[in-house]
Amino acid sequence: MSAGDEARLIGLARGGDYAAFGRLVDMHQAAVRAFLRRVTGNYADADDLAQEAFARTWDVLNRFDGTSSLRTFICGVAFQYWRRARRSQSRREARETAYADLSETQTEESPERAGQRLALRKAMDELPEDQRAALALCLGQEFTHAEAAEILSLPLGTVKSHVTRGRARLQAALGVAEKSDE
Amino acid sequence: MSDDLDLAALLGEAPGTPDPGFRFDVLSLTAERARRREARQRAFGTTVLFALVGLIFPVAHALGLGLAELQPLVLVASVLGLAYVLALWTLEGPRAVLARSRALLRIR
Repeated sequence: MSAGDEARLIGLARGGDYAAFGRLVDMHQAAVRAFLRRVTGNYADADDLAQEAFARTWDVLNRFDGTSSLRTFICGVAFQYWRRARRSQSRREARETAYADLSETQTEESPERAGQRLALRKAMDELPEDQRAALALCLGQEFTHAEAAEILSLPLGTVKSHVTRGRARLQAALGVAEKSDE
Repeated sequence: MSDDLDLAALLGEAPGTPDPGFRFDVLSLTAERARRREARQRAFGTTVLFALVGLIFPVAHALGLGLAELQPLVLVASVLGLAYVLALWTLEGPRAVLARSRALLRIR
């Protein structure tokens, strides 16, 4: 879908067209849900947060000025929701939920991969908030460093540094030797 | 395993295709929030209206106006209130005589 089509859908959604907004949700749900899944480690919580973020986007769509992409705008909203949710939830609870989710949803994978997932999750949970979010945005290559910087309201250099250091920590958790950043 | 995409997949995978269930949930949540917001605004409007009506007599008393001076105002207000209730009953009451006209005019 072209940028013009997206702009037209945004215009319709601003006018109260739910069908147009539904198409925008379809266009961007994969990126937003993937970001939240990586950052929370819990698919159910991630999808709840994603729904909240999209619903909030509907409310504040008039504030979207088009200088960034809508996907970036929605992820910015999602990031704020995740930070708020994280503050209201204790660290221990979050980890327990992540472990429970792991055991419930990943039963078909090999024990080796489950172990890697667990080690990664643990390493991810120990990272600072901004670093974790930067990794979740950039590792899957859904977002560029510049887009991540905009979403997280951080300087570009900080995001690049977060991704490089975070990646090294995750690789160390998997027992993989650190690779130089391209 | 050191590849970024592998790391990303281990941390959480993106849904492959747009999920209609997710869209439905988002739209339900959006509509529910809009309904709640409208209800809050209506409740606020009603509260303000009743507060203003309740303030009329104390304010009039403070300004030195008695019941005799206020009588025409009270009469007009009562007639307007009655007309409003009657209009509401006609539009939304059990028989809704003017419901079709209302629908044609798209009055919310």
